[in-house]
Amino acid sequence: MDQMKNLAREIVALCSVPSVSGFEGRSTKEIQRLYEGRFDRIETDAVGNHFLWKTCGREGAPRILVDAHFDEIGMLVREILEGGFVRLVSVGGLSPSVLQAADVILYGKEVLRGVIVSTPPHLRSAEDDRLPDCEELLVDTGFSKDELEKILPLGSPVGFAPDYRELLGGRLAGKSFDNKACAAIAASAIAGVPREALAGDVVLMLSSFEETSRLGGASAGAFGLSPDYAMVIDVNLATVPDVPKSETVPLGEGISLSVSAATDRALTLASQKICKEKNIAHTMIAAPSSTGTNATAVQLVGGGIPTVDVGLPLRNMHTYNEVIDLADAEALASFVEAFVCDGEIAKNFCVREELPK
Amino acid sequence: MNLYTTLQKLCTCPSVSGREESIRELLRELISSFVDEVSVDNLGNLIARKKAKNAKAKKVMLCAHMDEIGFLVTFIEDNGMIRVAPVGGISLSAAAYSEVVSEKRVAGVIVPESKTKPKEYAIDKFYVDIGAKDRKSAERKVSIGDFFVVRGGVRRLAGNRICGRPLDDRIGCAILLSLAERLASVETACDIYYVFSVQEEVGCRGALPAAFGISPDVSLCFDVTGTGDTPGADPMACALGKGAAVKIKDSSVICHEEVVATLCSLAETHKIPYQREILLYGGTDTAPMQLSGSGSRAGALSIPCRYIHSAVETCDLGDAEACVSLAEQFVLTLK
Repeated sequence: MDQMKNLAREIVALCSVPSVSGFEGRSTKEIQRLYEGRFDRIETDAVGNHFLWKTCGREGAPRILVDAHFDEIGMLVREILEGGFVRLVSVGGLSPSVLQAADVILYGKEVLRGVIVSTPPHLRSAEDDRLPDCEELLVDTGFSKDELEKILPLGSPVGFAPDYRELLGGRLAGKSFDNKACAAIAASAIAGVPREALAGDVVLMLSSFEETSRLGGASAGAFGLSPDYAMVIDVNLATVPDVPKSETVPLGEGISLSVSAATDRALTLASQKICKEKNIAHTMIAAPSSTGTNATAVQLVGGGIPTVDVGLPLRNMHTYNEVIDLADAEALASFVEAFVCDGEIAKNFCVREELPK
Repeated sequence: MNLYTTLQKLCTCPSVSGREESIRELLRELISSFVDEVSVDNLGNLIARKKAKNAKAKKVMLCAHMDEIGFLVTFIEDNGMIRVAPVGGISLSAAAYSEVVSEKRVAGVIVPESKTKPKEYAIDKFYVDIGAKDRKSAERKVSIGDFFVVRGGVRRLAGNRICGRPLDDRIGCAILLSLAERLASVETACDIYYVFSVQEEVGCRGALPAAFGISPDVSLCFDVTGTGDTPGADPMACALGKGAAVKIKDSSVICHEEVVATLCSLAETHKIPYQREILLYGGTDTAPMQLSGSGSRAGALSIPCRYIHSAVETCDLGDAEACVSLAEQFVLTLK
């Protein structure tokens, strides 16, 4: 139980760090604060990726990439209007259904609180049941236009206000579990592995731009790293009533592994084998031509990278009340740990060793 | 270099995406004397390099696309009328009843079939009439695969405003030429690559391999952007005449925060008019430069432009001049 509490704390700590897509570079200090000393070194690159290195200490060891995107959906300030209202542009696929009256934080030269303004139902005509897009909505900050122009440059990121609660049954509710929960779980797992147990040099890439770019910062990051093989971790749609079961994965029953043209078949089967041997709860899911995650881009980087796609079930994706199950988080942590220590995978997928022949 | 006279040359040199030979030769001629070496890569990008003294200097890629939207000939009918396919984001309501000119400088007009209502506009309802009396005589002037563009050219409106096509993105090319001239005799700490890219209008294709080959540390794109200053326009805090537009975001990219901050503070310091730009629709070569290879710190200086992709694209020369000055200051700060 304590272990679970620790993991929950780690998840909340990382998910609370604001990281609207495109502004990941602002988080370097926070990432260092959370992980300095637990990894060998922390590096950054030109596109906002952060690399957490943990090496095994052996020469010629395989390089293992673990990718979890670190950016989150959000908004940017687009225009400041009379009365201190702020017009927005969405960053990533925001759901219009949760925007009206949302609590937001505006990260300008100062950090401001605001609420999204909505039309009261009394004043709305019966026919007008369309949900306004983010671009049509305004934020009320309480400041005047003149004051805002001094402290809130156009383009400042805007995010949902962080608020985390534990629900019954070991569930956690809050914002940005997509995908910083996965990043925190992977970081916690890798940091906890004794160096000698690692099957190679492990790079945990907290990647940028997943929510806003088809390639994602992950493609540039993976190109620079040129790993032997990779695991991409991202959240997955968990079951809710009224949504076909075929489109979702059960919450609380472990991680998912994608069977897809965008992933490596042998690496996926080897991952499934790990789950079976270690008794890690998991579901196999079919994602025929694309996983909808960084895996699709990462596998095509450079000369190609064998990639496995791992999912953490999550409800209410892209809202400020995403829900995950801590048992799934535990399962993911166990899987990441076993994966980076798996000598058989390292032997089969280490291209580096095979090249000189 | 006078931006307006340069633009007059660049805008009357038709070159649709994938067929940039003539504009490339013109640009090569115009830039050669300002740089150390000029090359063309396998995709056709023109790359002009001004070397730094230090061999390990940082590399900056400055990119404007040289292609333009247009049409390719797909079929010639027995009556000599020519059917075409669009290349890039053609607006048929803007193109209807325009003069067109082919790569062989054959003149024609592009028109919808008789009685076609604007609502029914589709490329298969349009044809090019070059005045040929039948297919045989049309075939003497035009072949399948030849391209046509809406006739280019630029003219002055009131004050500093100019109008014509394809300001998208020959105005970006003109800015790079002017910048290259200004920096020609300056010793810069970084390696400068002026890149005139191909195939931007068909999905920002050219800049991707160009950036891969160059592998820049920093990249800046120069292209037009929309404005919110015309009747009925969507809200957008960007207007003609208010200076160089420092891009924060468009639909393809979110620019590197430090690049944005550096550009804005340089503009403040040197009193260069500027505005911050967020474009809701439309992508630029900034995106491929950002993510090609292991990535670069990418930003963009945009030139506000009304009526983009029409024959009457309208810009303010002052904004373009501000882009030249701001880019110059930016390059000079790179160490």
